[in-house]
Amino acid sequence: MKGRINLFTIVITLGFVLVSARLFYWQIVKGSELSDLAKYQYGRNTTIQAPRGNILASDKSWLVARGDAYLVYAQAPQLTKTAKEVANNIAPIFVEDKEDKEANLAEEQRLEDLLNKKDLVWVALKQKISPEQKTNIEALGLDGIGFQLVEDRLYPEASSAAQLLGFVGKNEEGQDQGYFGLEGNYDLTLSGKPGYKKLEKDAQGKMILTGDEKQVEALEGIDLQTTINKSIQLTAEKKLKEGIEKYGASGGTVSVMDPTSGAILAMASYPSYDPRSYWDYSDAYFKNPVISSSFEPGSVFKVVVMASALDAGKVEPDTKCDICSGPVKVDKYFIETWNNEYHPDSTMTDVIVHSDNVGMVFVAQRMGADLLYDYLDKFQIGSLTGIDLQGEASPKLRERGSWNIVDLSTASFGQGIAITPIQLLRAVGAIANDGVMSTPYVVSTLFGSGWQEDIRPVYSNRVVSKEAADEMTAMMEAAAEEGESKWIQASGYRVAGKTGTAQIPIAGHYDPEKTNASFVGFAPAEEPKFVMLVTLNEPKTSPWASETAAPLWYDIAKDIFIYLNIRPEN
Amino acid sequence: MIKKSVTYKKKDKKFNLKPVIVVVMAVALVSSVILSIELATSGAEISKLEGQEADLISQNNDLTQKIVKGSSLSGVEEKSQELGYSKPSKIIYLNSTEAQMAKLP
Repeated sequence: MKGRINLFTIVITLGFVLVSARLFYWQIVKGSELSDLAKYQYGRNTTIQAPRGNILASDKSWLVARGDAYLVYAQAPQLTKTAKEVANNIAPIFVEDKEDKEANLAEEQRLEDLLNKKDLVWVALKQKISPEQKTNIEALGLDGIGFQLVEDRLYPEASSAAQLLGFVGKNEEGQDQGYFGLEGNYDLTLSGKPGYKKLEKDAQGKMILTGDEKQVEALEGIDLQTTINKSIQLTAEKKLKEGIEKYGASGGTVSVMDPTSGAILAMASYPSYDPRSYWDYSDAYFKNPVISSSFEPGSVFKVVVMASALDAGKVEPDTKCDICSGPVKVDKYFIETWNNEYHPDSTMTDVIVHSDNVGMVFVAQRMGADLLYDYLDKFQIGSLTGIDLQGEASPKLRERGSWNIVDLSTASFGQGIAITPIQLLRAVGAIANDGVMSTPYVVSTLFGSGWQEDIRPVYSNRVVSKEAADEMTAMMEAAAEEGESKWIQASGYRVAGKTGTAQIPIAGHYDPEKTNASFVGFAPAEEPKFVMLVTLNEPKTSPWASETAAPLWYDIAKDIFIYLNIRPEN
Repeated sequence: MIKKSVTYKKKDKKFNLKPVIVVVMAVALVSSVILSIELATSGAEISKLEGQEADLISQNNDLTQKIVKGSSLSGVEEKSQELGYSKPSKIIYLNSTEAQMAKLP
């Protein structure tokens, strides 16, 4: 009996030890691992996506809106149809044009190849399909095809203002990121901040209320209200495209600004790209030429130099040019007028009206290189304008003190000096705005959830006196009425403008045939509501801006007069 | 004898905790079960509400997308041309001093 009791005691003790040892193993040795596994089983950690902000026009209509899209994927083990059958069913929904048999076949082949991959478990079939496409696929009732909600960008005006807006692509970590234009410059503002949700769910996926729950709400991306006038933007784009085709140009830009505030009303360039399928275009298309491409401005630059000379008191509107009777020799070069016509004793107004290169050399010689440099510096030629768009570039101005007589003379009529269209627009905007230069900007207001903030820049700088600006405006008005572009002027409207035909520098000399044409002007001359610059690259129908850029400028301006309620004065 | 009768009286007055504890435990047990059922039901209800919220957000997004597409100026222009509207070729401005406006009879 005693032996049995001892045996029983030993067995019980041994059992206790074994159970204790096993408990020690699970609780202490494996405890942490098992705890993690358990948390993984019942815990749900979810990132709450922050919706990207919208980009709005000046009337708060959408330029870019956030929207829903879906990633379509296939789970191979659950597919009940063959790869070929699935591909044949889905491909017509993926292609843009169902009638395009070639595209349809290519898509079918692509899907079939994806679905036939070895050891396939999960495969993405298509990124960012629309809700309509999703509904159509669901209607097919295919097993093993699933959808994941992703954010998309909607462009109600299609590719309009693409280079101004930029696009949303992926960064190195596969997350959405804005590139170029507004999307690039305001990426952080638009992106918001993702939130985080941690909760426990039971086997059926229902929430356990007594479980551990933590939640950090996502901060939604901020909406941007821009100064873009949609009507002017669409008109500018449409007419620019028509103008490029009509004049056989290789490209061009149109930029429109309110000279008083610096608000950009429209910014169009061509060729452009479609932000909905940016991956189909090379990098060259993404740059906005208005802010990042430099060019030799040619005669449109004369207004900046003349305004400087007027402000410095070196010339008056009726000062007579005493070297304008023929070509002028500068160092070893002869500088001629564009049409080889000479006007002895021209006044400064005549010099601008006739776009007289010799007359501008006269002005430059009166100013001298250092004074001209100082004025160009005041106009911030050679500096970034600070416009709130990603990708702005600025060619450097030759250093003060290093200008020789040839540099001084050629710069006076816009040769041997490079600027960007936005720099020229800002400089002429200063003349339109009584001599005060504003910073160009695109975004005026930020809209958050329950708040808004005005962020328009308040910086402005007087570059020339009001008197000098008024005199220059009168000269430009005379140029528009009596200059070489007078045939196209808008009857009844007071426009101040200037044409520019610039030769294109190639490898140390100027191309003998190709030119860049431009026209800059503002209206009404008295109290301007807009300043606009039109540039055309290498137009083929005529080398002269008066026959290409100028008519295009007036064609767009006639619509702007209506949109901005500018009435003719007689 | 007198002592005995006193002892009996004391025994009668002694409070018996047993049934109270049983009742409290029973109430606690039932409450616990009810609470568990309630929590489980609420969890399911919350999951259902979350699903409804997601559906409503999705519908709202769909409608917003339709408004975005419908507000397209290019689309409106295209549609207006289909309907026969055209851009005015000539605009006449009336001087405010000229009171020559058309009047209905």
